[in-house]
Amino acid sequence: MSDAATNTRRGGAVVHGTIRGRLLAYMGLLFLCAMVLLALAAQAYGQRAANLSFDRLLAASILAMGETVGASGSGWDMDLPYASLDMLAMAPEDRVFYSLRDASGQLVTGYGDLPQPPARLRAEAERRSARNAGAQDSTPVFFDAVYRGEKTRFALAGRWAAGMPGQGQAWLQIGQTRLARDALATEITGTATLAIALLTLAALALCWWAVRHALAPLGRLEKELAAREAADLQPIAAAVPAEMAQAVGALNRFMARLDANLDTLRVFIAEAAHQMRTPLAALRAQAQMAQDEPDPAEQRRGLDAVERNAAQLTRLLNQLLADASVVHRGTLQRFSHVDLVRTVREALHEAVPRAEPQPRVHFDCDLETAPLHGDALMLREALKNLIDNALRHGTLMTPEGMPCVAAVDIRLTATPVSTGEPAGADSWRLSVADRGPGIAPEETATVFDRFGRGSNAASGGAGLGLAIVRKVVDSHGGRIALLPRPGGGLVVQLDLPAGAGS
Amino acid sequence: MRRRTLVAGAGLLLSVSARTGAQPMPAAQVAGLANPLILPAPGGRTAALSIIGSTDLPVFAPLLRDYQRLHPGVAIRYEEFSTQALYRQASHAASPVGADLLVSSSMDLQVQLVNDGFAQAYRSEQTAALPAWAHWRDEIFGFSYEPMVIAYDTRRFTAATAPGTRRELLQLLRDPARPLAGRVGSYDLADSGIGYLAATQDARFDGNAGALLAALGDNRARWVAHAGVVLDGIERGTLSLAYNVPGSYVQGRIAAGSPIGMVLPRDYTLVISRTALIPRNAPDPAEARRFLDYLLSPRGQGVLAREARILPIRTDVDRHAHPVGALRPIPLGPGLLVYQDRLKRARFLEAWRAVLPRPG
Repeated sequence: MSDAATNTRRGGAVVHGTIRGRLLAYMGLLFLCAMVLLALAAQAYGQRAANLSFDRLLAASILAMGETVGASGSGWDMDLPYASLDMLAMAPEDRVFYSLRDASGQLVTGYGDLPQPPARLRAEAERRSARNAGAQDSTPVFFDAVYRGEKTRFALAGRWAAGMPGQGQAWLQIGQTRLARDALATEITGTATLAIALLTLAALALCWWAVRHALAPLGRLEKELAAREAADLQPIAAAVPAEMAQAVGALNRFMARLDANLDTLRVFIAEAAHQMRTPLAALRAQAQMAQDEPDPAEQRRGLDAVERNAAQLTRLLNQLLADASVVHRGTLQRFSHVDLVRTVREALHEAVPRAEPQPRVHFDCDLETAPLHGDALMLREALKNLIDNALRHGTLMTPEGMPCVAAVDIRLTATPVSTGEPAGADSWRLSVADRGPGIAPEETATVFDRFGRGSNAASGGAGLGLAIVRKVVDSHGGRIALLPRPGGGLVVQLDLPAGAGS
Repeated sequence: MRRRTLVAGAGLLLSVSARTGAQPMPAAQVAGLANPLILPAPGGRTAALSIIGSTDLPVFAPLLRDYQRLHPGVAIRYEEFSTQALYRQASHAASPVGADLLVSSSMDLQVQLVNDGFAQAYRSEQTAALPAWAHWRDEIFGFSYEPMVIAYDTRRFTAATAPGTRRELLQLLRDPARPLAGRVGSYDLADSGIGYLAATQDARFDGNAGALLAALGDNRARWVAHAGVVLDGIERGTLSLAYNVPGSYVQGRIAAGSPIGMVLPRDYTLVISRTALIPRNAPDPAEARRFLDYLLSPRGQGVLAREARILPIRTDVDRHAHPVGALRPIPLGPGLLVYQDRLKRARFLEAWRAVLPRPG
C-alpha cells in the first residue's frame, strides 16, 4: 500500500495513493473492528455457556444433597449421598466444597468457612426459599468467590423440613473451583474466535478480489488509450461501468474539442500558406518580368508592383504575428489599468499613414479619460486593425481608378450616456464608421473567422483583422457589432466594460 | 565426618519437632527401626528430605536407602504417623506441616488435604505415566497397587474351600456351626483409615455390606488397627480368616513361609493405592519432587515390588504384574470426600458400632 501522504509521479500523472489500497485499508479496518467485537462477544458467550452447563451440575448436586437433609432428634441431619460429590467429578480436576447450615447460620456439617454471597443474591435466595415454603427445595442462586486461594463457583439454596424448630429452614451451599468451566469457556471462545478469524480472512480475500475486479475497466481503458495512434481522437469504444461513464464522457468531449481545434489549426496553416503563396508567386513573376524588361520605364513599373506585393506580404505577416500575439496574450490575461482614450489616440497615431494622400480620419470624443481593466497592447492592436480596415475598405475608387480620400469617423462615448462623468459609466462604446461598401447581413457571422473575408472586400486583406478584433473584445468581456451606416458604409461598434477608475 | 552428619540429622529432628509443636505420637519401635528414622547423607549432606508417612517403615526404608544410593548427598528423615494423626498434622492451616512429602495409605484423607488446598501441584514425565484414577489435580499421586484381599489359615482352608466372594464369606459367617466365631479379623473402622476406606467403599458397591458387617460382629470379629495383628493371629492359629487386608502384607507373610493363603474376592476386589503429596508449605519442594519422580520411576517401583511385594502402579513398568479379575481401583477425586463428611462418618461408625458386642 502506498503512503497516502506522498505524491509521486508515474507515467506523467501525479499519483496520490491507490484506490485499491484505500478500499482495502478501510475494509480491513472495518473487518478488524468487527472481528474484535465478535471475539469479545464470543468470549462473553463462551463464559455464559460454560457457566450455564456447569451451574446445572451444581444445581443437580445440591438437589441430590437436599434429598437426604432432614430432622434427626433435635437438629438437622444429612446423609451426604455419594453421587452428590461424585457427579461433580465430571469436572475431573476441580475441588469441591459444601456446607449445611441451619436457619441461624450454625454449621451442621461441611466446611464452616465458605464465603457468603453478596447481599443482593442472599436476599434473592431468601425470596426464592420463602416462595417455595413447604416445597422441599428451591432453585439455587450462583455466585463466584475466591476460596482457599482458588476462584470458586458457589450455589446456595434453601431447604425446608417439617417439624424443625425455628423456621424449619436450612441452607445448603456447594462450591466447585472453576478449572473445568473456564477450560470449556476458553474452548468455546477459541473455536468461535478461530471461525471468526477465518471468516474475516475470507471476507478480506473476497474484498481484494472484488476491488481488483471492479478496477479492471480502468486498466482496459488505459490499454486502449496507450494502443492508439497519436492522431486518433475518436471517442472511447470500450464499454465501461456506469460509475466511469462521466469521466469517459468528459474525456470523449475533450478529445472532440481537441480534434476540432486541430482541424482549425490545419485549415489556418493551409490558408496562411495559400495566402502567402499568391503574393510570393506574383512577386517572382513581376521580378522576372522586370529583369527581362529593357525599357527602364516598364522596369520601373514592374519594380513598383514588386514593392506593392512585398508590402501586402508584410502586412499579412504582421497580421499573423498580431494574431498569434493576441491569442497568446489572451490566454495570459495580464490585465491592468488602461485609458481607452489614450489607447485610441496611440492607435490612430500608428495606423493612419502620414504620407499623401492623407486620409481624413475624425476622432470624436468628449471624454477626458475612459478607464478600463484590460491589456493596452491587445486593445491597441485591435483598434489599429479596425482603423486599417476602415481605411482600406472605406477607400472608394474614382471612376478613373484613382483612390478617393477615405473618410473615417471614430466615436468614443460612455453608455449609458453621462455628461463628462467617467466614473458613472458602465461601458465604453467605440464606433468606427467608414463609407465603404459595407458587409452583407448574411456575411456578418463569417467575417470574424480567420481568413473569412467579405465578398466585396478590397484585395490586399488577409481576412485576419476582424478575427483579431473579435478575440480581443471577447477576452475583455465586450461585444462587437457590425451595423450599416446611414448613407452607405459600415459601422463597427465595440462595447467594452468600464473598469475601476483607480 | 559421620559424627557431624548425625549431629546434623538430630538438628533437623529438633527443628521439625519445634515446628510441629511436638505432638505426642506413638513412637513405636517397628522391626528394630527407630521412629523417626534418620538416614544421614552417605556422600556428605547437600540436601535434606523430610517425609511423614503412614506406610510402615519396613516397606519404605528400602526405598529410602536406594534413593540415597542415587543421590548420596540427601539426608532423609522419615517419621511414621497414623493416617488420622498425619491428616490432623497436615490440615493445620496455621502451622506448616514441616515435611516435604506426605505419604499415606488413606486415600480419602489425602484427597481431603488436596481438596482443602494443603497440597501443591507437580507435573513431570513420571506423574503423567500414572493411570488416570491414580492422580488428581497433579497434586496427589498413587504409587502402589494394592488389592484388598481375604487372608486365610491354610491349615483350616484350602484354596478351594476358602470363601471366594463376599456372599460365600457371609454364608460361612452365618453357618450354624459357627466355624469362624471368634476366629475372624478385620480392620477397626474407627482406628484404621485404610479399614474405614475399604468398608465405606464396600458400602457403596455392595448392597450386602451392612449384613456382612453385622455377621462379622455376630462372630465376635477382632477389629484391629494394623493388618499385621490379624496376620500374626492367623500365623499363631488363633484366627482363621481376615477380611479386607492389603494383599502386599499377606504376600509378604506368604513369602516368609507363613501358613497363610490369599483370595482376591471374585465379585469385586477393591484396589487401594498409597498416595504421596507435596504439602503447600514444604520446606524443600524441589527435593520432594525429585523423590516423587524416583518413587514413580521404574526403579522406585521395582524396589517396592522386590522389597515390599507391592505391585507397581504403572502398568507400563510390568504389564503382567497386575492380577486379573474384578479389580476395582478406588479413583482419587472428590467422591472420596463423601465419607469424610462429619455426619456421614458418624452415621457410618455408629452403624458399625451397633454390631459390636456390647461391652461387659
